[in-house]
Amino acid sequence: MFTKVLVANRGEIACRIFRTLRQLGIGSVAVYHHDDRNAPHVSLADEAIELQGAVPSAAYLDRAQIVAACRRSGAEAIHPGYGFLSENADFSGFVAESGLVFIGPEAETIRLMGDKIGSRNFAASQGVPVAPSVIQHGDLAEFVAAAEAIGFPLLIKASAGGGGKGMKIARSAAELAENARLAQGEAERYFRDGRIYAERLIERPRHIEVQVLGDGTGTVLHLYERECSIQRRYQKIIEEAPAANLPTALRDEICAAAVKLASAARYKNAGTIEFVLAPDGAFYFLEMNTRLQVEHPVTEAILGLDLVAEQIGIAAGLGLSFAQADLVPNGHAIECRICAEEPEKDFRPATGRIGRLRIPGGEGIRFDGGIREGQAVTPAFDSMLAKLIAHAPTRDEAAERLAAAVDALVILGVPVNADYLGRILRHPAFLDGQLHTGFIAEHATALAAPALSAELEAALFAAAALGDKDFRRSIFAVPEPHASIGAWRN
Amino acid sequence: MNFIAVLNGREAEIGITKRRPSLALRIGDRSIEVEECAAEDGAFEIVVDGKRHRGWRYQSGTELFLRLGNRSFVLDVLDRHAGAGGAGGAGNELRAEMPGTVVDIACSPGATVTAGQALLTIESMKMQMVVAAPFDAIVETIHVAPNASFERKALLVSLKPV
Repeated sequence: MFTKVLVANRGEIACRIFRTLRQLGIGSVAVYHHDDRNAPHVSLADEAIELQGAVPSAAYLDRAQIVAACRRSGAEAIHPGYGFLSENADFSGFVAESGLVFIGPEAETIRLMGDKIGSRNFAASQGVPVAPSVIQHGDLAEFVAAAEAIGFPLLIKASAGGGGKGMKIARSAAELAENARLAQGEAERYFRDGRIYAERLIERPRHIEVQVLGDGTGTVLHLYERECSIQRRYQKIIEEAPAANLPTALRDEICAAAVKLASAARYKNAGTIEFVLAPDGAFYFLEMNTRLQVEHPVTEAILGLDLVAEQIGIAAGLGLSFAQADLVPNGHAIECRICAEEPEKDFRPATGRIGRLRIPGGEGIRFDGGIREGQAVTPAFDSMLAKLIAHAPTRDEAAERLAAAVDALVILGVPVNADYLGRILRHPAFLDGQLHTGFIAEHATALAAPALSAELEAALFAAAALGDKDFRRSIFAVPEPHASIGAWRN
Repeated sequence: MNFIAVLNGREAEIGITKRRPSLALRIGDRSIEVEECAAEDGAFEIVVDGKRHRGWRYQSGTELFLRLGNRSFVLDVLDRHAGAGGAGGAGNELRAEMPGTVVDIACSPGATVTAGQALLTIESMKMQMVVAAPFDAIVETIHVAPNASFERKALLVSLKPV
């Protein structure tokens, strides 16, 4: 086993990995950019090394500095978290060449499964269903013509993409031409790889993904599915395990397809195979994420295990600590992502400073955060601040628990989506399990902030005025006997 | 001394109408009886017309963040010395709602644009957004250049309605 591990990440995921390292008795090393010097992940690690560079996000992508920091600290392995370098095949290779251990798949596997086109071809070759699609080989006009032949509506994506970036929908030839051009531009900018592809868009699709663990010798276990159909801007905001109302036979079929694919790739690490599930029960391979997912805690909750500990064990060559038969799901877990954004303004990311933070607790509640009071929320990083997870015997109870926890969460100083998430968790269609990736658009009106009652509005204005120093002073700044104000207390 | 704040675009002036036996406030044209008590853990409790609400408060500049009734709100606290102006500024000026960079400029000064037409593509927090004309207009001035970065509330485009 390793004696010390460096975490090449920040925010909630770095904090979460440090927690497991501490439990395992493994030393921990944080890396950070100057702007993050007071961030929680820095103080949670046993030691911390500053990364130089003007651009904060670039520092966390600087593989040479990160490997140098690892060497300097004496850590034997690097955990990349998610995002940043987690799915960078070159980084995985570079870490290995440097005589260190990358806690993740080998470069070759990331190259195979991390590329949208390559992984789709591989899935198809293994008999795992993929949606009808067309790939851009060269000329954009040729691509547009071929895409049109599949039939509308079409989804256009960046080949090297992820997280919904560079993804567009086209419902007509005119939209296709325009969106293909835009998608190509975004693909260039985000991934430095302008290749795009188009596939038939499935209406009212569900996003079902399977968590797998592979030891690298071809042994792969599935840790059941998660449903991540509640999305905005093509990014998940509520995830759960197991999927709601999924027939057992279909669940088994999807999990088996995932295991087949990961086994064929001799997958090593925790990974996630994402599928799109059509209303008729047909499912298609979407992509594989060769890393820990944001939403991994819901799987941990229903199976009572620690995925980070498993990743570390696999990377250390200890193999898997359980067999498929040991994995028996218990209850239901739901996670919501607390993001600095304004749902009322098309989920626009927001910035500010966290002035008040109160974290809810209670039975079955888990809060994974990397924030503290006084911390600035800047445009430099992703807008996700934390995750709130509830585990309960049934789906209804989990939703109720999570909604109550969302109510009790206080984050002031930057707008967050918490109230919006609470409305989703209490929406009848959500509680009924009628989920699809267009859920937020379909229920936009019902999910909008309810009108303010005259009573609440008056209370807000009164609370605002009473919090103002000058206004307060003017209450007291009158001579006796008028200054006596009865029940009023400061 | 009155206090002026804007909530969801609605401006209200709050004044004191009575100090005893209990505090009464005038909010716009409404009068309420108020009592506020400090609660633990940084929270406050406010009793408005006999109804108790628990909340949290945090002010940053003119932005006042309030959590009350399990909902969070942002109010703009107006500077009394500057006079009542309302939030948002002149409608003919398109300003950045958050810091970012200019990805693409899709209009030019003097051009006639229609409501909804894309003027700029900007990027904030790794997300691209289109800045569209809110009404039919002539583009007067574009205040930013491609790839330039800008701060929150920076002036992006000035329009002249047609």
